[in-house]
Amino acid sequence: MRRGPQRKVAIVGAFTTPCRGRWLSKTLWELAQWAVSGALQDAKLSISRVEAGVIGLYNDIFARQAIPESSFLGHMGLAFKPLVRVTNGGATGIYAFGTAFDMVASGRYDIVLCVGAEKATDCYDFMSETQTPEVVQTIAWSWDPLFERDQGATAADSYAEVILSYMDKYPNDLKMSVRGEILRILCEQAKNNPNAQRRDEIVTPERVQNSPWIIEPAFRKLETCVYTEGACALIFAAEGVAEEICRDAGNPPIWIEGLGFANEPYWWGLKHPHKLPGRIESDHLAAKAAYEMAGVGPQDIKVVELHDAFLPQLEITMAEMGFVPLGQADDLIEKKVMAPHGNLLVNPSGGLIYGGHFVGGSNMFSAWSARRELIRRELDYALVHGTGASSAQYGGVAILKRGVI
Amino acid sequence: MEKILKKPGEYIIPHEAIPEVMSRVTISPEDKFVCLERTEPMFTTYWASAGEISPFFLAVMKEKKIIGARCPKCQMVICPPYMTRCPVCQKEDYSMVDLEIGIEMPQVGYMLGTPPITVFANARFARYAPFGRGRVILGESQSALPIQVFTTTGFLRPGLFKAGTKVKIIFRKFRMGFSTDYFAVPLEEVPEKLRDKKGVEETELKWQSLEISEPKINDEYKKQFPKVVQAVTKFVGAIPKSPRAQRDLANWTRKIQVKTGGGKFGLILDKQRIKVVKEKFPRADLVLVVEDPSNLIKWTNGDSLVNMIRTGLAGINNLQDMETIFKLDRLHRSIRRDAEERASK
Repeated sequence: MRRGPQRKVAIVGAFTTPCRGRWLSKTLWELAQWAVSGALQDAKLSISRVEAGVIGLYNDIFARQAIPESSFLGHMGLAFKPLVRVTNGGATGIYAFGTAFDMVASGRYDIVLCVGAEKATDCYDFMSETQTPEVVQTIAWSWDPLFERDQGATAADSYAEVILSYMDKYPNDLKMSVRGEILRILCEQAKNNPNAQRRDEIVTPERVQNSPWIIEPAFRKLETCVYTEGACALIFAAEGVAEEICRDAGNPPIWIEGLGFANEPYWWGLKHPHKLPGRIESDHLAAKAAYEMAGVGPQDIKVVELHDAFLPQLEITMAEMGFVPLGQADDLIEKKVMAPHGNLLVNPSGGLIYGGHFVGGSNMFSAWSARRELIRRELDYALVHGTGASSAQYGGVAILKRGVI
Repeated sequence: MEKILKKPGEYIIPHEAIPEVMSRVTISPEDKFVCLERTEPMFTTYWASAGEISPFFLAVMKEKKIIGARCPKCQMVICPPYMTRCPVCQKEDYSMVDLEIGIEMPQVGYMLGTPPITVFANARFARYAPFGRGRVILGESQSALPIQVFTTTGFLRPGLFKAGTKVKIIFRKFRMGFSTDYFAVPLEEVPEKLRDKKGVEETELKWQSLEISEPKINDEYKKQFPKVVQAVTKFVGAIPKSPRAQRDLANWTRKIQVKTGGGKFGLILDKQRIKVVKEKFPRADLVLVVEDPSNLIKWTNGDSLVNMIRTGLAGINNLQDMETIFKLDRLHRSIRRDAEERASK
């Protein structure tokens, strides 16, 4: 039986580093410390008041170290305090977020630091003399060693099969013209995010249409997320403490009203207990649980920060989370659901495609952006989503609400 | 213990993927910070057991059979038999119900969904692109068997495999107990007499060579031809100075007939070298047709023959020998890297 939190939890400080394809001048430690320093400054909080930490680190290979979290504790100012590492595929960020929430909501700690960091592009393929094949090879190690990996399953396959099987079921949805328009919007929105990785790009639906296939016919090059190096830190505080910190800092508390998670099984099949083609049920179940906990529905949400690994998956996830019907995800544009045509702001950060995707902290970066938009635009509710692992198995959703000082 | 099966000359980490111990000073382009970069490894090698799933791979390897498992209580069938207990059913003592392992599955099934075709692959698989992999449902199985998909009709292209496409399981001639020992082809590409046969090997199918027509000869191509031969000769003449390029050609011999709209010539790959010859091979191992000979100059400058074949600018008579083309494509980068290193010294 699912139980509610013992007490309310708010985000009281946040900071994200600029997203870059490569931070040649910074180690992973430095990126994390930079983010922590920024978040403490944002909350006007002394590090001595932070009681525990959570760090999202996607995998050891990118970090070039087994048990890499051991090196971070001192850098983060948490020496002699507990630090938990979370690694849950692409959804590492949202699961780290959930873990930090639980640590505060349970009553165990009043103030917890939640950090996500990644350096991916030290990986280098000496055969092609480029980084990308080795980066995607690293992600491809996440496929099982007995069946999928030897057959050449790629990082992109995680979503390609989901997208293609959705298209099998709904051949008239996910039209390229709609996908192109969404990408144009995301690219435009990234220009308003000072930390976005691809701020200088101009993307038009025509350019999307003409970009090469990555996996044919699932998605093209301009529809894929980027590899990013960066870090994000969030500070979580319990009710009673949060208000005091926020008053001093001059920022409203951002209450975490709802939280939901679900993971699908690894093996695909015709019915449960297998993963089903054409669906991302993890997203559906995670969103349902988060809505129930928050007592809201999709109609209440004004900002969505969604883990868009690939553009067609953004559309499917929006449908799974109830913003448009399954099979009619193109309504996002055709029925003017999504801003600027409609009212719902989707990925104002530019998302993972144009904003940045440092896996261990991408969903925290999304939370940073959602918080920023709630405060800047004086909106009430935002939804933050994370997905990951082979075949988009893992899903997590958080519902944020702007409070008052 | 039985004898060890090997693929001589093939390594789990390809030699060209392993860099030497190196370091360099790099200026960060954005903040002009002076950085030190070093080559580093992070690897582990294994003699890994397939454990309880070993019977599946042994059945593939030794008997050309695909086996599954069934729950005696709920009758759920799974293929492959990726677990030994039913995750849903329990016995009276509350332990999970043991599956019956070893049910022989039919070797004709259907695709669960449209399989992705990978164009830009991982480092390990880049040389096999474009390739496809998907999931097939066999018999009563509720789970799908992950599988590579091939066509006997040339390059894999969208539309050949879709959700529901009937497929036949085909076995490799040389099987070592990997999930690549078997693959799927569309059933309609399998001759009728083989459709019901179990344990069909790849050599029993007719792998259609790309139907390459003779190149159209014209004066402009003829005019270009001597320069093309000259450029190719100069390019392959750099191989003896390039250890990397020589490694690319290690243990590989081929007689390749190159046909263009301006004329023909031959390439002899042997002893880690390539020799350009004017003679016509009576029995070439491989025929490469490039109608516009200027495309061969582009190849010597780094363009990809694989892409030319994919886009129809070139053709070969044996698509099963793409590995030779991949090796030819690797040469430019290898020669350039060695030349750069020599220059820096």
